[in-house]
Amino acid sequence: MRVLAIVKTELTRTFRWRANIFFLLIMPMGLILLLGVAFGSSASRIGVVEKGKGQLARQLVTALGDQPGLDTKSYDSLGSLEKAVERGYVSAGLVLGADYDQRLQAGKAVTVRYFARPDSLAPQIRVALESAVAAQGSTLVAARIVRGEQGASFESALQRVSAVKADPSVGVNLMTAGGGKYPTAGGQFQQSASTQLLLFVFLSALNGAVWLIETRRLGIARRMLSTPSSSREIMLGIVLGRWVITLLQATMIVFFSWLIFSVHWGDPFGTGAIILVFSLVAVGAGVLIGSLVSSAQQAGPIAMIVGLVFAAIGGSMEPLQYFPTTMRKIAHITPHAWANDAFGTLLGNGGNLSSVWLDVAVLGAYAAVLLTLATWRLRRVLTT
Amino acid sequence: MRATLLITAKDLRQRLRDRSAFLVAFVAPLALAFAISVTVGGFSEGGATYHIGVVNLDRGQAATAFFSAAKQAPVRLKNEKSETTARKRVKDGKLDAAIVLPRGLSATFLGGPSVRIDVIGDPNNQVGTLVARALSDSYASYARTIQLASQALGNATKPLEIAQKSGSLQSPVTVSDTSTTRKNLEPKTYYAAGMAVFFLFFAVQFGISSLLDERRDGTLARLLAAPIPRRSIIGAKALTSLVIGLTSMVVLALTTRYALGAHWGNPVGIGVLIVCAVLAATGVTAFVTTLAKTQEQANSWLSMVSIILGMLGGSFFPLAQAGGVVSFLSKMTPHAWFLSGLQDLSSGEALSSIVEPSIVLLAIAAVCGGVSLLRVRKLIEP
Repeated sequence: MRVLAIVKTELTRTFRWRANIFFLLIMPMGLILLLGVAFGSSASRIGVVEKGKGQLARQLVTALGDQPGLDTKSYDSLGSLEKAVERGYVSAGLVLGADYDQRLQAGKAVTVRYFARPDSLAPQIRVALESAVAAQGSTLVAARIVRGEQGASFESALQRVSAVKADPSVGVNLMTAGGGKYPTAGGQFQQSASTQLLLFVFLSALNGAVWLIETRRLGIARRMLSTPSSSREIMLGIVLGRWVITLLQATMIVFFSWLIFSVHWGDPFGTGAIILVFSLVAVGAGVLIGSLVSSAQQAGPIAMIVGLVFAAIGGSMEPLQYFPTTMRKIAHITPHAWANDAFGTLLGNGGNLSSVWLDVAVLGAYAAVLLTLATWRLRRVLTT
Repeated sequence: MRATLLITAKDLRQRLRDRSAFLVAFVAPLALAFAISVTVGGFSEGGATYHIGVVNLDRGQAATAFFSAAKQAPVRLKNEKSETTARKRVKDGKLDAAIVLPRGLSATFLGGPSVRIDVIGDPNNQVGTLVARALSDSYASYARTIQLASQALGNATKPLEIAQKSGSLQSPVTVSDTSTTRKNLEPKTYYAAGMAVFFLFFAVQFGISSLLDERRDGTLARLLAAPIPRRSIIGAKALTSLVIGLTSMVVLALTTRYALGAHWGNPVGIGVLIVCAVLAATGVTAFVTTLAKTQEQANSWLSMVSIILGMLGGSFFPLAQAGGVVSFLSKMTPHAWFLSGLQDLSSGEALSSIVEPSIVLLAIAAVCGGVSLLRVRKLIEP
């Protein structure tokens, strides 16, 4: 009972302060909206300048856009494309000359210009580009072979090759590991919803450190200790209170993102388990900071630094799949990386609780360690 | 003037002592710029290598050709015994994607029935899937070339000879990669600058908004009772903001330049942009502070405004190109102007390119600062 009273005090104190509604709910939702609008669901974008308006050039650009996880965006001039690549609006740029069609139809070689930012996605887009080029090249190369064998003109060779009606002998079929059809695109807000949920749940639970310090500064902790409640009850109340607030925040983000952006949250037991355990990790970290640091002026910035750095490294800003290979391993020192993996399995691959048990167990271990440290420290600062 | 300097010196000493300014102005932006940069590969060499499993059910010449064709791509191919294990390893994230080379792949080159290459991808690993799919597509195109040529020639020529010829015939389209010859704002410089300007808005709060602290603690009344003109008090607070902001930006620029190798561009241009950005940040902060009634209110409003402006302005990710309302909102923030000025400088454009961003930043500073000067009297009335 006394524990519940402490929980209630924590809740009242938090929600009496209106600005908290902004930090806990409106800010994460705003960011989900912003990221969804800005980046949508595709993994990367390539900007294209088509100088001529030929059929073959168009065919190449369409083929590029058909690659899974790649979108094309058209630019009017080389200058604007260069600027867009430099500033990261698109990951790479492709320039097709005005004579693209003319030269290819005459059997001549053509060079297209490609450039990218020196970040980790450039080589992958290059592979996609090479495959689109190869697809277009197959007819042209075949025509050159025919010309070489029979000595006819390139034009007539191309006609003979184009007249071949047979279906391609080798097809390519894309499927998921479960054997199902590969999803063409998730919802626009799908990717950002779960990563931002983790970022904000962790960040605001760490900010709980500031509240904990206030509890001590305002003498609330001392007054609680003077009542006939044990230090164990008080600590349980504090931790439980922070946990309930964190869970409320997570639930609201899940609910409103489903309601407003139709984000699909997958198996309820799986998602529920991740949120329950991850919140506990976050609360543990928040209480630990709150009991290690003595002033709210320091706790605020520390919470922000830890919260944002962990989110960045753990794949809640830039998705883990874009990380360099070693960095992807290092990322798993953060709880975020495990939770992001789990959400990936649940939401992308249609998994359930049994397919994410390992991630949840690792998060459970984080929670156990952090809470043990936090309560041990907290008992010392509360009682001395 | 002396009073102004005394109050400023007192404020700075106070901030140094509780270390909060140090955390916000230096540690936070550096830590975040570093964290974001390593994740996007800015500090690592070569980027990612993708691990693609190959289930070779064909075991013929065609499969060998596949392996040698894939050598140029940024992938490491791994042999998988069966499709089942390949699927499992993709699902567990041990492989980025897998490719199944079907039985009879070699036979199709000799006119056998058509076959299908299966690409097993993970929807959470779109890039890995893209790479595997592209590899398979390239290979299918190669098969298509041979098929087209041998059919067009009738069956006079053996497909295998054609295959050899087609290997020596390059595609008429060459991709020339000019990435390395380009000067551009690398990710690490972008994020260093983005984080610096994001935390600048928090750092300048230590000056202006401490007026409310002084009022709460009763020291403002004492300052007012002393023979100090009011404008000296306000001036001192603004000066504290400017000093902390400028120091933060300069130290960050130098640290990221020399420790992380960020390229900021022309020092004169950078200097001008930094001064303008600090003035704008101080103006915005002063304006929000004069709207608040209590110190708690000021703190939370300032955090909200700084976070919203930072997110919209592109401190965390570039937004200006998103189009529509988002681009418009982005252009309303000082962050976006500072970053775009910096990008122009660092991509080697003339010094004159910073005129427009500087003017906009100064205008923001003037408007917000002017309005807050009109309102600030209310804050310090006893």
